[in-house]
Amino acid sequence: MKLLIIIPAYNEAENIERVVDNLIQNYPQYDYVVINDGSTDDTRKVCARRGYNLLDLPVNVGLSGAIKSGMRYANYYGYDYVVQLDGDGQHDPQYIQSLEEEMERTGCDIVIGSRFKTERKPINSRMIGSQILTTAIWLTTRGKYIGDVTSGMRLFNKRMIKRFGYDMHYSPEPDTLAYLLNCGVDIREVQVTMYERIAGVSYLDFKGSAWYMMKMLFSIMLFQWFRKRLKE
Amino acid sequence: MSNTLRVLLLIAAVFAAVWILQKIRKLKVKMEDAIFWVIFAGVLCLLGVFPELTYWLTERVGILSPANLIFLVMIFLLLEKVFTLSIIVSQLEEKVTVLSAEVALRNHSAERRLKAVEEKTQKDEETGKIEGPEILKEQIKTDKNR
Repeated sequence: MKLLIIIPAYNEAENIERVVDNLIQNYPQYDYVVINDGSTDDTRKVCARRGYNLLDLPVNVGLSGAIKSGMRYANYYGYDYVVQLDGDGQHDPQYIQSLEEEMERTGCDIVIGSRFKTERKPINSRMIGSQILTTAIWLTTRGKYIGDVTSGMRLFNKRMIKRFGYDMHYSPEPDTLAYLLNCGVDIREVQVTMYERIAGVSYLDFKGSAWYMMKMLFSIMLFQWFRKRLKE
Repeated sequence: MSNTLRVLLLIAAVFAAVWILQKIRKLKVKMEDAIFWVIFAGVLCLLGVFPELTYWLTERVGILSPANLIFLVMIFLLLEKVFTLSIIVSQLEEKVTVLSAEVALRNHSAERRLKAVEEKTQKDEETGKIEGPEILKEQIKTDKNR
């Protein structure tokens, strides 16, 4: 099975080298592609200098646009699996194997590398937001539970690659998970441990988070009922 | 506030909601852009269903007729939309400019490098060092005939 790691990177010049070098040295069995989402720092230069496999988007299109290009890349070159791995080094590639095993064992469509499959959520503002979304998904999918809805570490199979690459509404966000669960898509979680980001800043401030929550709740509670349900 | 106005408000609300949800279904609009119109429909609905709310607000703001307040609210909402749209259009224009510049630049760089390779291969072929790929020969032939 051909597996591709897609690494969306927006202004990750300080982190990208560490992340990709680790992949190249310790996990040579996986293919990877760095997707530079129109960074304004030296991300592109660093990747070019080190000769990384780079998909260089000329302008910033946001995370879901970057993932979309990654999915199209995977579809174009005929990959069977795609793993999304953040460019800031939060995700440890050692878990890719357990994600893959879970997918092969159960034949599901998406496996989420979850911080809260067996462990409890800590209580802070970020996790309250996460819990609200978990509850919203639980309410709208007749009791399906996803602990770590915002985890950026996900494994997709071929069927999902096509959909994420070509459908406008498929963003790599919790609302898509809710919609897919209602389409009968099998989504599972595997416990992983994530690191804190070492350098750089996360892109979500308070205003961004409020808008994010609003988007997600509107989408999960309202819009998903009006979307076409793809069965096959 | 006449009943006709209330009915009109409700019709407008339902129409806006149905229209935008239809667009979501047909993949014509992103869901985050639809939020505004759903809220817009909600506000129209509120004003139509609870005229007391309109009366109360009219008094607070000091406007003579409730109908005027409704116009005012709608104008405010639409102004906000025009304002944000104008900003988004500016950003999009800038993005297209950068995008075309980048595409042209990258094409230029790729062509330059390709040309260097072609010339090198041609030279090597002439001196009998290597046999260049077939596709390159065809390309050079068509370039000469052009």
